[in-house]
Amino acid sequence: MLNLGYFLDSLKAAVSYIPQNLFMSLMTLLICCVLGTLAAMARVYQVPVIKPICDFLLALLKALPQNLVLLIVYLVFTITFSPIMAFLGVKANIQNVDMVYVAIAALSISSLAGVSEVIRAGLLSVGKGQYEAGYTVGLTAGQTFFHIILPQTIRAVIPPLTNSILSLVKATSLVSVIGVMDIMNGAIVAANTYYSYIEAYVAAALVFWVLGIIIEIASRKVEIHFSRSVKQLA
Amino acid sequence: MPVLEVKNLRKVFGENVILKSVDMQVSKGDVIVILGPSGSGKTTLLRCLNLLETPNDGEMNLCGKDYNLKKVTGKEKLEIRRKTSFVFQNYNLFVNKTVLQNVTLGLTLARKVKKEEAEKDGRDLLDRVGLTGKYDYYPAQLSGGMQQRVGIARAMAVNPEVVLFDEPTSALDPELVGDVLNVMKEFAKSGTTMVVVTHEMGFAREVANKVVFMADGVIVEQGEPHEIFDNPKEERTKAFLNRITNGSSGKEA
Repeated sequence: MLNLGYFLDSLKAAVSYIPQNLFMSLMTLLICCVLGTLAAMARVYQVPVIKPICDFLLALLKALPQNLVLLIVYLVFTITFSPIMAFLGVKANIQNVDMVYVAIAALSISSLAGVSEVIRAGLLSVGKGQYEAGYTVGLTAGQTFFHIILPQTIRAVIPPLTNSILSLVKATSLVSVIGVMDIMNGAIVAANTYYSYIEAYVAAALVFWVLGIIIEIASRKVEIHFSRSVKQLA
Repeated sequence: MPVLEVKNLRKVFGENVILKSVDMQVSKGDVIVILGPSGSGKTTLLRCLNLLETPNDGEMNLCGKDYNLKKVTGKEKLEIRRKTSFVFQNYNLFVNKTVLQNVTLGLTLARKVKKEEAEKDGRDLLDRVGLTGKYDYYPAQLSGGMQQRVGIARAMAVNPEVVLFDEPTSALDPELVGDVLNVMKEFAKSGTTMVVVTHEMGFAREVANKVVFMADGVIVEQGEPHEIFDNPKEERTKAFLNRITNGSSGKEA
């Protein structure tokens, strides 16, 4: 039923886009972790004004489907790019902009709420006593946060964050709606000549499957590193 | 001249007045035990002394420097906390740090002491509290009694003017209480200034040079241990001591 030759063509094409997908995933993860941590901190530490804004924005973002966000961001970008560049006095042609960055912006917007919630749960898992202990030995709030609270938060968020990373990697298969190539689209394009779509889908699935396993294993390793202070539960 | 003095300390949580104008003096080398029924404000008083709770009103003099507790700045908080230290009822050791790191962090990070120097002091202190060889353990690998002794070593490491103890033995199994009290006694004998909230009457009698009895957010009576225990003047003190000494364990909280 499967034609091995077509399958290998699609697989080759899919594999050639792994770096593109990983680049989009990693950049998105980085942006989500930084912004998500700041938003989570604002919410956990009840920062006036910023907390309600974060509450509202994250609730809004959470509700939107990812491909819809991609389309909206794409349209907003294409409409506003030239006027904004003109306003800034920068000479830039929209044709020269790599749409990958638009995809990263859109993926970041749609994944931010999830990642931020995971980090918020991690922050909440560290008891008040850990902060107080830091203060009583004379640490500043910043020192207490970076040396005591953050390492414990990281340990707590790795398992749920792994889920978020997997969702993110899978979401990169949606970017074809704004014309960005990725693993899945690469496999499909290779199949267009002979209509060998079954082979293409299986090839794409195989690549995502292998990526997923690698991410799981890496996450396990990182978790073990951060859990050395905690007794292994039987 | 006292090391630590507070005047007119007031603390309110919502509608509840927890501390109503408390005055207290701690001199160098004092071991002061604060007694009192549950809800009398003992722990809140202790937590106000190093600003884990911010008082609503009051003045403090610590090592000759005056602080207005009503509007204490972040910098002043840090200053006060670096001259005091605190032992928690539930230890609150840094769970992501080893025993030795728990003890040295206040030195290396907050006071910029060299790592080797801090570690040497840290090991000496851990030896003194009977934890030789446990330097590289994590808190989760220790019993409650050991964790509390680490907590005491951590509090002593920063060379504080006053060490505040908040019911240091209340969370421990009865057979572990003795070790912790012995460690505290040893530090008391070597001249450490301490303020201790506890229900351990034996410790209060034997080690304290001043006992403070609190009820309903005020200091009802204070004096030397034998005055308070053998000859209490106030009705509320008498009633409390009766209940404590008639109770089987004397640890009713």
